[in-house]
Amino acid sequence: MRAFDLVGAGTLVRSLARWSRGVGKYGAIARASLATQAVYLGEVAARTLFLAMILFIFLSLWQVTYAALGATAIAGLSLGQMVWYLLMTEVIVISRPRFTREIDAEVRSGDIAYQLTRPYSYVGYRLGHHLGDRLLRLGLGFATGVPLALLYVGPIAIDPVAAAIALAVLACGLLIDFAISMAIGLCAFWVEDTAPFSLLYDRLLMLLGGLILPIDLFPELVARVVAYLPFPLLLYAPARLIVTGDLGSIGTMSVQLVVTATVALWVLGVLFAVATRRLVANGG
Amino acid sequence: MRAIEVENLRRDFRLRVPRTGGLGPFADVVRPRIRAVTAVDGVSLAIDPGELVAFLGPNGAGKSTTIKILTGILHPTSGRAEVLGLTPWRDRGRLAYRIAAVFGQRSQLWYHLPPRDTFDLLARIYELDPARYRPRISDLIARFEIGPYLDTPVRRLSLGERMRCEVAAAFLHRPEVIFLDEPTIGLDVIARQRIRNLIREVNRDEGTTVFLTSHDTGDVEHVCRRAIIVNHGRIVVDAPIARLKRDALQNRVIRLTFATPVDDLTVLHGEVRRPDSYSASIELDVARSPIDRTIADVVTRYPVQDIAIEEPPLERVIAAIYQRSRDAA
Amino acid sequence: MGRLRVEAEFLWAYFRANLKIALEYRVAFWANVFAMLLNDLIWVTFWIFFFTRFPVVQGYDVRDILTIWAVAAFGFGIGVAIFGNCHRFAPIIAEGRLDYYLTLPRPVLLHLLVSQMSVSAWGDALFGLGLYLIVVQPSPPALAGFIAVSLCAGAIIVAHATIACSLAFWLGQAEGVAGAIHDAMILFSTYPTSLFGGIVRVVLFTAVPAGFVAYIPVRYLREFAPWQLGVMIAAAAFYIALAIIVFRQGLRRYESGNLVSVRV
Repeated sequence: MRAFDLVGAGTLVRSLARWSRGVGKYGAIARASLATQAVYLGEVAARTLFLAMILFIFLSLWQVTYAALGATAIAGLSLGQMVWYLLMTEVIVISRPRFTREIDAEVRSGDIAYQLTRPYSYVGYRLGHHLGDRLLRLGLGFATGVPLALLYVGPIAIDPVAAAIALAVLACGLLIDFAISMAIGLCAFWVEDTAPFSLLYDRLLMLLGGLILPIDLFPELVARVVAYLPFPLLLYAPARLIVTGDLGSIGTMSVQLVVTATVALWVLGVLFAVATRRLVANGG
Repeated sequence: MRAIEVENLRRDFRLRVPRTGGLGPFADVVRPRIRAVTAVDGVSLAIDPGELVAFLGPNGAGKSTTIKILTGILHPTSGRAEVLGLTPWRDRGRLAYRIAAVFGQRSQLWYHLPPRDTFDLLARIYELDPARYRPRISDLIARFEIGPYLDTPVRRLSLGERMRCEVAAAFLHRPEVIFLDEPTIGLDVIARQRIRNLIREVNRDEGTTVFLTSHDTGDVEHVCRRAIIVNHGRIVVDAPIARLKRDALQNRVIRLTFATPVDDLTVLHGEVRRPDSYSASIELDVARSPIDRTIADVVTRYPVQDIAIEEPPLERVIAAIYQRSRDAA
Repeated sequence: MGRLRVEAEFLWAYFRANLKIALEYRVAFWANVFAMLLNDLIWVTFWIFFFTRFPVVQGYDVRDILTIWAVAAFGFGIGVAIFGNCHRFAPIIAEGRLDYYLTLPRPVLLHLLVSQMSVSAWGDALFGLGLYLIVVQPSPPALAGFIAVSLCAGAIIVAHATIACSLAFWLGQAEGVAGAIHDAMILFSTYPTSLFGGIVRVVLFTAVPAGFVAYIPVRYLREFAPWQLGVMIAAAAFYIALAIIVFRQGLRRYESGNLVSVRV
């Protein structure tokens, strides 16, 4: 009995020692990465500051506008909801990493050739990586942005069901954004510089996605045309849904999402196939 | 008037020493740890116009600090310095017209433009009179042989061509003193020689005082006549290079060539090296061993066909000086 | 006078050299210009949509907001095209690369600022001028007024950016802070200042003088009262003088070797 106990105790002590050494190692790693964290924190701080300024400016703008019209709601949104809407769209936009540039660089450097030899789908790998990155940035964006919105206009009522559906809409939107961004990046196979196209897409997304102005407030003709484009699905749709809980147009929205996502992924697939064929033919 | 005159120059720095580990970075913000460092510790020197001086020292010896003070970039903590009769940090603007500073890291030449454009720009920077600028440029182009590349963007020139343009650009405004830092770094043997010759030529024809910093002893030997060596912020040696080699190390290397192969070589004094069976080198300290008897002994016993006596390479002289000053400190 | 002519010739030589480099890479030049034009166009389109829906906001109509944009874009564009380093020389100070300018016989700040040209800024300048010409269709005197007041605005922007980057003399790694201050200036320069009240408005005429870009020029280009132009010129002169003073102070610190954590 006693011998067994001693052995047991000894093992326990040794395991504890190994465990604490393991933890200590992570402590050292954590401290080393603190330096990189500082740079990262600086970036986060800069983005938060920018967000704070933009929200402040548009809060002022909308306050003046609402007051001038003596209105409590514009386009079905109260002042508070309008500011939260802006927060949502801003966070979604800011969370976009420089994805197209990455793909473009990978194509130009020829690295993509190596990636294609891996035993998994390149597109799938890229999707996973991109989504992970995107989710992290979204998380950070909300973490820093929500306190700002609370500070400026206080909380708004959020319907949990609508919010959940909005997240699903957002997820679908992220998929569409990924497909389009990657498709543009793959154009590096044929075009000298994809940056202008990437920029064009970015700007169109900002304007026609309803970044600052909800689509409802667009001039009639423009609003009707834009409704058929993918851009509002990425920004306007999820943001408005969370902020108002208005499930009215969820039917058409879903259809649109599915169709757009299918088309986008199909285009990506075709481009990818053509690109890989070109790669194999020319040997990178 | 001297070209450069320095008396008891001193420059102290207060350096922040970061703490390591744990909460160190936070403590550093609240109460930083400061260490006082003396980069230049009572340097005095006098250089006449037209001299070719090498300014040497190991890294951290205080060279760049001294040069920064002489070019007016930095104030000294105490002491006096005059370049061309002007106090560098007080009259920096006026002094800038009369000196040139070519530092290794920063190229004067605009990377995307042909050298000609840089020259034109420098003419504007130094306010050169157009009437005198044209002939000056032609003269430099001919002397430095850069005519063929004058209109090629600098990024397309080889390193040797670029350095020649760089050094030519430095002489454009006829500086009375030129501070050169590592002018031949990265160049092949032939390119190096060309640059060295050109610097000497301009010095000879125009009397430019040359203040050269280089880790390449070839530069030192082939361009300069005088060497000032600093270490730990103090001048360790200030002597003509010829004397440096003669006095600093008393070693000599005797190179022998034999008429017929010699298998076993023994000597009275010194260290023997046998590259092959026809040749040998004997290195000995002439302060301690008599060179005449060593030579006489070898010549009588072996079929010596050719003999040469050399001074040790300058590198070794300088390394020994660094070593000695480090031991003394 | 001789001094002035020498500096003018120096600036002109640098401007020509910078432009030559920019045009050397013609494709990149036009791509940059196009990108900036597009960027500005998107914002203007947003404002047009907004004012279609809300025709007048606090006395501002669409013409006013487009004037704000035109002045800001043109002023910023010209200013940053010529003095391209004004918003990015913080690292030059932090890394000790200022030494190069100190050994040359030209005014250090001026030399530092003109050493680089911002290519995309030409897009902004082109946009600003084009916007004003198209939207307002000004008479020649009005156009002259626009150019005058925009150049003053540009001078204030450049001077402000210079002060922000000069913080590197005291803070070492000031790139982030300088960038944030400069971004705030640009951001607030494109929105009507009267949207903001109280302490924010005070800030917009002092620490972040966007009010001089977004407020006074618009009023001047509506009323053409000479005192308004006078205020712009005075403000420009003030901020330029302040920038020179701040930079000189920082330079003295640099020369005394007090950039302690940087010089090792």
